[in-house]
Amino acid sequence: MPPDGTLHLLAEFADDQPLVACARSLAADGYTGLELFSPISLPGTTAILGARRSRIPAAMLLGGILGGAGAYLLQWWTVAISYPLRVGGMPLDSVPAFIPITFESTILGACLTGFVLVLVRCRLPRLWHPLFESESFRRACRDRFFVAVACPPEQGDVLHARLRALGALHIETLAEDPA
Amino acid sequence: MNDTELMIGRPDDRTLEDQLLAPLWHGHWLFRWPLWIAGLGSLVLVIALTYTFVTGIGTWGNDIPVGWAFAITNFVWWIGIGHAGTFISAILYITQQRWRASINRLAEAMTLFAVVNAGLFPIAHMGRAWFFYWLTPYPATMGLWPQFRSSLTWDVAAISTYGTVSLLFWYLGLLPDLATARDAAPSVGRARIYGLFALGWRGSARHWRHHRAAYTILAGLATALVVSVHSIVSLDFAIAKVPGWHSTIFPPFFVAGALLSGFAMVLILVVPLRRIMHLENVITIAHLEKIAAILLATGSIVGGCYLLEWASDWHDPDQAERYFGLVARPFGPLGWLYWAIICGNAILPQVFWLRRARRSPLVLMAVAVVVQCTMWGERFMIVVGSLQRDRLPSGWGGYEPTVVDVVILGGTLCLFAFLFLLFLRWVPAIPIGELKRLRRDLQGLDAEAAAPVGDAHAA
Repeated sequence: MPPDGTLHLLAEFADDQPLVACARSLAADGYTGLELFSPISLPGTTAILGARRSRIPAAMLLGGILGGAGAYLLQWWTVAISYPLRVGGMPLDSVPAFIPITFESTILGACLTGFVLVLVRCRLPRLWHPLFESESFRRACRDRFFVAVACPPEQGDVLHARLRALGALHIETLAEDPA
Repeated sequence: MNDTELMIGRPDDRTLEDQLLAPLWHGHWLFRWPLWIAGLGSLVLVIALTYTFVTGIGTWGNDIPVGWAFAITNFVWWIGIGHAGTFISAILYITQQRWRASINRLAEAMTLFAVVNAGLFPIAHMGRAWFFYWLTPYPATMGLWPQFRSSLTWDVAAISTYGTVSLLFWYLGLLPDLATARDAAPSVGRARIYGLFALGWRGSARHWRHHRAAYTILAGLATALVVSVHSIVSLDFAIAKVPGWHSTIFPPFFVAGALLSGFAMVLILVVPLRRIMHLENVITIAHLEKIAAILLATGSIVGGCYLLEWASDWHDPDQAERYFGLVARPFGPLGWLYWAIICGNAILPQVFWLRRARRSPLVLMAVAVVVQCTMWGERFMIVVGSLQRDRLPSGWGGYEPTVVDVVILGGTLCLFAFLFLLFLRWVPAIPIGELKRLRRDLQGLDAEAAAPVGDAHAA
């Protein structure tokens, strides 16, 4: 149990719909520490959990702009400044000829940014996690749906009963915050 | 075409998982002698390439005037094949086509391995392949830089970006399924290996939120790649002044041809696989029918481009272009190939106007094989046909491939098969998570279809 005494429960559900319904109900009652675990993505849960939309797309835009600008500057600097060489009567800063590499580097910059940020924002790689100690959680990426929820220790029984009523198949207490 | 046909039966999560992970845990006869044969073929490729590197590209049939020949033909052909994978995984994802779900990973893997093969050729074609890094801008002691006004450096950027983005996209989509394999693994050893590659994925809402956001944008960016990569490849030709190459139609013409050969390759892989690996319930006739429709569409676009080539050559002020387009190409030394290509690429796919043809695996397979061959022929005709009939008749010549040329082409086919079989053996080849999602969506559709009367009453 965490030092502040907060109780973290993990409840198991058979399918996505009861899980989402449970999350909605718990969130409406102001429960904190809500997190869902599912083998499939559950559209619409971001709003239920009150989480902010992922800002990775905005960062990818930035990564793309940097990639493209960097590629253009590199091409311009190498063939117009560092070693000026006139080819085919084109001006030294041959804009149309620099477009393909600028375009490709824009995409590369955005994609690399996106991929790295997914890992950073998901805090991966993390090969071991306290949740992996739970026997039932081994079905979280297979065919079971889980909700983690926190409450003060004195309300533990109320939350237990609540989760049961919402269709939980199995409830266990976690040693620490799973977030 | 009804989406409810996209899965036969509505298997629950565990049944789907057991079926799709079976080759990983229990193997399959495909991974015995076929894998060995493909492996041996790849070894022959390595030997042929080593021989070429050590001796020089005099081992090939390339000569003046035909200096590009097999290497560039194979390069353009392989890179084109890759395009269907990106099309399925990216364009069909952002247009929310349900039928991409079961075949996207196969197609993405196909893309990756096609790019590997494609990349071999320009590097081997350099002759001194160990100097390939001269194509990248690095601070050399002589102060020289790559010439960025040349389409060859554009190619380097296009192909390396394409390979990298395809790999990232593939791996990102694979992550949740690797976690599934980790948790389903029958032994600790395998759980550790899959666990390592799954990076600790837990399927939390936080994970999914960021994963989906990035995946969608990646799909959008990969969509731009689908049209850009083969466009840039086509610029290798189009910015040159060789008759038959110097044409503004090349970028869209190449992209349509790339999709045609790519989808033909998807059929060549999927039609036998669904039978051999008993995947008929998740890769259904409905899937094949949709792929056939794409073959029909892209084949028609390619056919339209052939017609446009005639029209633009007719009006071309350049006598050499007129001569090449109206005489040398259709009636010259490779004239027979030209007409075969028109039949194979543009006319044959028209058979898919017939529903029965679209739904017959045998017809699909036969058409796909022919299209694949004529698409290779088209690349060959563009490369060799033009070079052997350049502007000066005194410079005209012929071309004959050597044994090494043919062995290298055959070797890349083996390498492709080898990598693909390894992929089927070790990686969840059908996206398990996406099919679990699809099954739920289809059950929703079933329910809607079952209760139209009730809805009318309720309204």
